[in-house]
Amino acid sequence: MFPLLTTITFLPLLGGIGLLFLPKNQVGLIRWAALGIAGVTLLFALGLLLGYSQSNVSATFAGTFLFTENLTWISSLGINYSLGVDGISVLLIVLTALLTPICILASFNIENKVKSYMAFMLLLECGIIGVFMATNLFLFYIFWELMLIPAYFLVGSWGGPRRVYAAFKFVLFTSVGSLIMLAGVIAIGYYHQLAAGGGYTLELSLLLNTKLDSGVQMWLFLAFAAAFAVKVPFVPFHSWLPDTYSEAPAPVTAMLAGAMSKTGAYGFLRFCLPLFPNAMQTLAPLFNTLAVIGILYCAVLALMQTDMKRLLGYSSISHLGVVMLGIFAFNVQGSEGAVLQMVNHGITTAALFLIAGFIEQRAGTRRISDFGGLAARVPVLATVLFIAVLSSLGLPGLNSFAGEFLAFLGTFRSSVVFGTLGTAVVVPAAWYLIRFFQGVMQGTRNPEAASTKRRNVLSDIGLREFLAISPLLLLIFYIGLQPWPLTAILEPSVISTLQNLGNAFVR
Amino acid sequence: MPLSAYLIVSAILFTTGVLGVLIRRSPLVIFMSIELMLNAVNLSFVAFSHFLNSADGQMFVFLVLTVAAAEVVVGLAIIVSIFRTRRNIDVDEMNVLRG
Amino acid sequence: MTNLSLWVLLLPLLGFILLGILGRSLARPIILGIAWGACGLAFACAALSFLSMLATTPDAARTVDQQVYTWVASGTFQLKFGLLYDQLSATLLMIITGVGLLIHIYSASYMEDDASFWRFFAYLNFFIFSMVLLVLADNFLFLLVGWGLVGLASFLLIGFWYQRKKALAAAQKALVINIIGDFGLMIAIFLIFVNFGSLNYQDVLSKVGTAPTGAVTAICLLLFVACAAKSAQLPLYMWLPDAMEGPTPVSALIHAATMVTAGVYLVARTNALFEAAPIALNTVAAIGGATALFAATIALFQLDIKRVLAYSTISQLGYMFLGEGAHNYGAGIFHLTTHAYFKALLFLGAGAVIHALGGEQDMRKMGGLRGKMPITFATFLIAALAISGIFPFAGFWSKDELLGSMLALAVATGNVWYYILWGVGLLTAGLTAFYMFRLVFGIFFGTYRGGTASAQQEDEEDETGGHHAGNVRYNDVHEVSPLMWAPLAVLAVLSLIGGFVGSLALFGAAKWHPLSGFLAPVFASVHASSVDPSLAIAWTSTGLSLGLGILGIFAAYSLYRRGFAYQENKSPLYQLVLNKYYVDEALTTLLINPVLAFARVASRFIEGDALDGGARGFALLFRGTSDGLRRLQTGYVRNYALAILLGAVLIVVYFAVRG
Repeated sequence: MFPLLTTITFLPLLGGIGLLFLPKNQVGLIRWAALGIAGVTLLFALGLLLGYSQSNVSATFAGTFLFTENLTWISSLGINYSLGVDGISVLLIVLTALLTPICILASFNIENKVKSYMAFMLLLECGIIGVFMATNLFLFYIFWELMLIPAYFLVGSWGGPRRVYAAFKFVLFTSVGSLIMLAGVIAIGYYHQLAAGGGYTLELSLLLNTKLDSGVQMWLFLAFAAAFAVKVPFVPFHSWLPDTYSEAPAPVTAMLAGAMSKTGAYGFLRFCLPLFPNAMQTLAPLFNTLAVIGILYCAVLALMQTDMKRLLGYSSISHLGVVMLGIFAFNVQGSEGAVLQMVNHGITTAALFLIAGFIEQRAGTRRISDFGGLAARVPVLATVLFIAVLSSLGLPGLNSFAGEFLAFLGTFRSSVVFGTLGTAVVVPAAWYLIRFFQGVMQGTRNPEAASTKRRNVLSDIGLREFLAISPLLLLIFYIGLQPWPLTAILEPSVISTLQNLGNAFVR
Repeated sequence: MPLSAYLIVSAILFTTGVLGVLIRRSPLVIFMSIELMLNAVNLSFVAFSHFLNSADGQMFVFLVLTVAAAEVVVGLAIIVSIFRTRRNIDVDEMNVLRG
Repeated sequence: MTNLSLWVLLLPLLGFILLGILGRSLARPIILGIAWGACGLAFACAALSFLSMLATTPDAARTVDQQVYTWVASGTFQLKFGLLYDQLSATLLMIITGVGLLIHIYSASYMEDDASFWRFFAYLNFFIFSMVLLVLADNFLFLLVGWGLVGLASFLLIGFWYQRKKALAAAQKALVINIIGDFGLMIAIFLIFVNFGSLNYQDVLSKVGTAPTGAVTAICLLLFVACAAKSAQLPLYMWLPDAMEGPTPVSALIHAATMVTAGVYLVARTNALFEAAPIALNTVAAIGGATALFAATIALFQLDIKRVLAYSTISQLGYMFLGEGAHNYGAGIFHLTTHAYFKALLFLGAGAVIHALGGEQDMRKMGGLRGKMPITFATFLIAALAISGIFPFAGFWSKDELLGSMLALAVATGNVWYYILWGVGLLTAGLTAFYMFRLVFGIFFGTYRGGTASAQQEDEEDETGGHHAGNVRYNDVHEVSPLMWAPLAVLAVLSLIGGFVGSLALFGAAKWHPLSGFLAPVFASVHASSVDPSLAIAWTSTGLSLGLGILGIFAAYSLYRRGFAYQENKSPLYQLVLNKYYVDEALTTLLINPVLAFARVASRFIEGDALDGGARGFALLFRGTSDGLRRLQTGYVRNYALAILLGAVLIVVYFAVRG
């Protein structure tokens, strides 16, 4: 059988290596080649989506994966090269494969060390997709760490003035979490062997067969959660995010916020929930509280941010809190809403960061107070930004609304208090996003500001930029109008994941 | 003579060598002190070999002598090269590896 | 039955999409063609369906739930998008598309000088679409979608002149307060799903009895939070007066005739729930009554004519809730209908005056326009009489039906609070008549007070577009174009005769009540006995309210018949009312500023010092430790050798001691 998953994962990596052999001064060739590689990967990913939706989806009811590939790697330690997808991961893979060409297209204005930039972007794609496909914990860990390397260089070499500080902070925060998870990965194989007998294994499908003791689950869950909670991020482990998101070049931020930030929430849903169901339920109040605090606290913080990208960073933390609430609701609406919201947040936040990048590139500043009244000069860009802002504030009828609604509904069903408090975020969210939009696009121009002095440079959105952003806009409308096809793909996989909870699972 | 007599001499020689290594600043003297320590060990090897009626100890002495010779060659070469670059072979001056 | 409701929904959407994408490059006649065409065809479809419904005989056949597509299916949560076309939505569709069409026509002339002509009509079409969606949705979720989209349309149109700081602030305020309402609605929807397992109106309303009263009360109160935000009731009314920053046709369409009545619609739509939750229904009545009086008092002293009308709208919406609180949902909808006529007329008339005076909105600079703008004056007078509840204008019938039901309820239950609410309603009727005629005399009687050089501050901030507060001389004032006065005339006729669809029981024709008879199936859950007043009660209420209305007009006549003379009044009570009870200031000080201050402090101290500092502190800890350990690397071979020796000795000693 054709190894579709391996192709999707490693095509970007091989392509990225191939880019390195192109002549350095052929910048145009390098850019188009990178776009081509990402585009072909996207085609394969769409093929995967098509294949998945046409396969007999009820086959995944038993919690199995489709399109699986298994190669023995280190058999004595139960480490295999095993890939597989279900409804949850297939959507996130397509999202990543979609965002990569968009972000590469949006990066065509980068002039500095183009070759390695593009290679790193493709490597980042490989890492993220690998995380979503790996069904062996060791392989998962490798991809998890693989994401970090290109992300570090992309932030540290092409970012803003404080890029080195930001990249360093990012790597330190995430790798502390990852190392704790590594200990957890090693330990889970040990405890599994202890409980089930047989050989040492890190294969997810085998680990799922045995329920661990509750006390063991607790410690292992905390070890895994350390890595995931930093990545999501949960308050108070979010301190790296505003720095990283604001310093990274906009297309890189779009990749990080749009695709990479989903790996944390995905980890909770894919590994923590089925492997440590008791611990998840015991600690749910704690995590729900952290999520609600993060949702409201970051929304309020976003009100007073002066830097566009920092504002969007806080907004991103706030929105991902909603995803976490959905996952910790332990019912179908919550989990489906969470995954839907991951996809929607990926689309919306990538659009927002890309637009912020377009504006930053034109004006040479990210300070909101430097702008004002741009709509008259750049009407199309203003419209595009407005659509993305509306999507982000959860306007009914656009994509985020569908995900947020389901996630909040699920949360409300499991806990009225958390559901109500979480839903309350719609008010501050609308407030800060509208302040942001009005501050940049409406009103009158700040006469002292740098953007005014450079007003002749301010041009409306270009064709390349519009092409990059338009698929996201189409999806914003499409998913808002009818989220049903996505939930139909999710439903069997979500149910089979939640069945690990036993009686606590609510449809 | 009892075995202990040989061993006492050997210990005295070894301690003298250790002190030499630790205290003296000239690399040549340090080398000689190292030789002293090696020979102290050799003495105890030979002594044990005699009292235990075994040839093993004698064999080890030859091994040690060979290694010592090789070591001196390498060591002297290093000293010469250091002297060439720094015009000085005081070991207290050689602290570029300090943390 | 011919049901074209889907077209009523899609045509304005099509108009919006066409104008939104192509509008910038289209000529004005084509823009008007698209916008009028979309709205006009939607009106035609609505009217056709309405007539077809009238011709359908069994009441049950008049309700059609048209399923369009599956929106989402997730576990037990299944939601299909569908359109519920019944008597209530048919009535509202007629008002929305009808008044909407008139305002589309009016705006062509009103907005003719604006650079963003196309954008205005695109937004108008978008609003019609959203409002139709709100009214037609057959489930609570798409109600929420419509609810959010009309809020967006309102935001866009309030902030239409986006260079003006005031307009932006008003738009922001309107959006955020409306989102508070959306929040209430969302929680209500969650509770509905948890209790009834469905969001479809017909499913939910038929199962009301299965849920505990506490849950139903909570649902109704939360729904009413949404209604209060959308319909500008206490304590969420603050956005509506500020919304007057938008163009006047918008104020007429959205902030008087249609969008703000969405709350009244929602209560009427979910009447079965409210009937099962007496506490919630009493809350509706109490808030409605309180708002009616509160807003009417503010309207007494306002100087900006649009703001007077805005507070008047809030007050009239309070009336509608008052009627619904008295179990007479039909009367609420009836007043909604007549209010749509006369309040749209008042706003459009005010818009005509403002247009003629080049953007002037301050009553101190008007006066004596009667001779210059006869048509506007005549229609404005009709509307003022209608809102004052003078026989036989439209407002008389609907207002008296409301008040009559309230008195009937009070008599039936003997509850003193109902008597108080009825009294509040009567008092408000008198106040309404007074401030409306203050406006009529102030604008059209006396001598013209504008046209002096000092009449130009206000708008120094707007760069382009918009209307500059005028400095028009009296002789330059002209009646507005036919395109503008024709809608006025149509609405004047409706304000004159629109009340006759109500009950004529007062005059002995007990069988004549076409509107309430038509709507009756929607309100089947209401016990008819609780709302139908006896003739004596009805005449008591009517006589008193008519008397108070005439008294109010007379008071205004005696004070302002020679025109409006503004005098500074320093009395604290006057200042309190003039400054709208300082509610906005209190809100800013007590809620908004603390939140912003917290955000500022938190981003400095929690984010900066505590978290970022904490992370850096952690890094410093490692650096310090390694600094200490580094000292051990002296670089002297002797020291290392000594360490090796000591180690070796320690090992030997250890083994020696252990034996």
